[in-house]
Amino acid sequence: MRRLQQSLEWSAGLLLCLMVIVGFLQVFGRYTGLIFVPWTEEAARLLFLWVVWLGAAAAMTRAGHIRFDFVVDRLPAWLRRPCEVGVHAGTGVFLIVLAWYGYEVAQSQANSSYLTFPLSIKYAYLSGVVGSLLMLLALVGTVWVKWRRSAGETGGRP
Amino acid sequence: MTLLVLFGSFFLFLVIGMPVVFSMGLSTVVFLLLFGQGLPLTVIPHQMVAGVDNFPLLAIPFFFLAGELMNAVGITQRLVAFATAVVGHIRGGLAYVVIVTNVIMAGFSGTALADASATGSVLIPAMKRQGYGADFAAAVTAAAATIGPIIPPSIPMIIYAVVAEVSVGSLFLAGVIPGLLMGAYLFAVTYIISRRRGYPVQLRSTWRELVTATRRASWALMAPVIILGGILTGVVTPTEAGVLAVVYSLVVGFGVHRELKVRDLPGIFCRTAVGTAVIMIIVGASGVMGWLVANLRIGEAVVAGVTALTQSPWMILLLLNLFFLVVGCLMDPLAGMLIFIPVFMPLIKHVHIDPVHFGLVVVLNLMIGLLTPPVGYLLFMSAEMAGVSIDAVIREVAPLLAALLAVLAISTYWPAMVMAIPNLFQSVR
Repeated sequence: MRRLQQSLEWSAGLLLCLMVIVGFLQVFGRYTGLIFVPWTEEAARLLFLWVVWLGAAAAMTRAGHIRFDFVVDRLPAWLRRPCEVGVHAGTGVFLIVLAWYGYEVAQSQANSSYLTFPLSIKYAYLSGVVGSLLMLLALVGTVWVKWRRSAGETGGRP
Repeated sequence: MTLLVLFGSFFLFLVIGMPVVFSMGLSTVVFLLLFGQGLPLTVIPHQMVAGVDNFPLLAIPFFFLAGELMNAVGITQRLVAFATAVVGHIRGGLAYVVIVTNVIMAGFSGTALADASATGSVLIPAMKRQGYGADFAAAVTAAAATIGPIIPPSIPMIIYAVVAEVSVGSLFLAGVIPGLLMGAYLFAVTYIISRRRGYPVQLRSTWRELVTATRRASWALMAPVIILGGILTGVVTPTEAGVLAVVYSLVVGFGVHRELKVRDLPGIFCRTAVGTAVIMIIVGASGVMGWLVANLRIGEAVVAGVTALTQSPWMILLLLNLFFLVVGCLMDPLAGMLIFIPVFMPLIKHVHIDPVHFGLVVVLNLMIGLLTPPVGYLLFMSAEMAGVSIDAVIREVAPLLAALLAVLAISTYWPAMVMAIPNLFQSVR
């Protein structure tokens, strides 16, 4: 799980670094006129999508997504457990829907290309598919760790 | 019934502890399965990606990154030294240092939590050492940090501008006067409290000390000038200003202060990428909800319902202020904005309220929400830094909160003040 977290954080960080370079090229080119790089805006947007989806998956590995825990933290333990199961199950269902239908959307865009460089727009939509699958992986990992821990505490009975 | 399913399921998921992004997403899945009438589920991934694929939103990671880099190069300590030299000699000096530092930091940072963390980590221990109450130190830190997203650049404002389809630059400019007013009002309340409690004063700085502190902080002081100046004059777009802010921070960090190390960069980039992603993924999910809200004509229903009660823009602003104050108390500000802005936008246009003015009012409301329980992130953060209970900070923050509410009232009912700078620069351009 830790390895997944680190590799996702590093990937998102690296893509962000590329985004800064591309953004700088755009500003530098526009204001100095020394270079003409027409593809910077579209490339920055594509990189941004991948930063967001990989970063979201990285956040998932450490339960870093924004949530409203005021009510659930005040529930009695016997009610908190079913809530937690419901949250994991609901999140899993949503991520499967997102990945499945996201792939369909990506396929439907296969023949559309970016205007300034020869790359299919499906790669923009694939960021969502890959991100959802990685979040699903992180979710399964989290549930597995919790299940193992709870099994350890109760002597083998989860 | 359809509305009840969409929003009811969303709040149910939220209350049981599901992250905001998945609560939004799953409620739209439930809605489409029950009432979609042939609408395919492909709408969800399509809108979630398309909602983020928007050039103005790229300013968010850039300003986020610039703020992180600035903090990493020891800017906070330099600004604190500068502010101490300027206002430290007034009774309760360090409390004003907190406010002044936040006002300046607001000019290059766009988030309240980052500002509270940067100033609080330096100034709360210093205030405690000098005999200020830890609860008061925490309260001033939390209240002053709300200025961050009001004075440009501002991450909540970028998100509002994209959702409401208004100019990011105009909204940024609309925040300048209210942001400075917040600083002035907090200053006044702090002055009264400090006099009453006899808080300590620092020795007045000599001219030489003042010049030295200003020179040491000059690169930090220049950052807001470059960012704001670029946007004010229309030389750069807000997104390009974000890029410039990053490049400027790197130049200052490596070339001038030489406090930034290459080995610091991976951590900063990774933190920024994940921090941005957590916000942007909600923006994407809200795109789906916003799309449904538009298609179900919920906005038009709100227009009909509210205008049946009152047609007065003043009354409607009062109602919306109360609504967003409650939302700010109960929800994460960005999530609250993303859910409700598409719902209220038709109403705002119907009663001819300027959407830029309304944007400032909404962001100010939601920042005040950061100071109120149960979801007052700033309260929790500053209480933890000061090592005091939330209750103690709530008691101390009350008069400061009253000052911010006064600024909210003025900003709401004096649109000419809010819009003075945007109108001025629009006419100049």
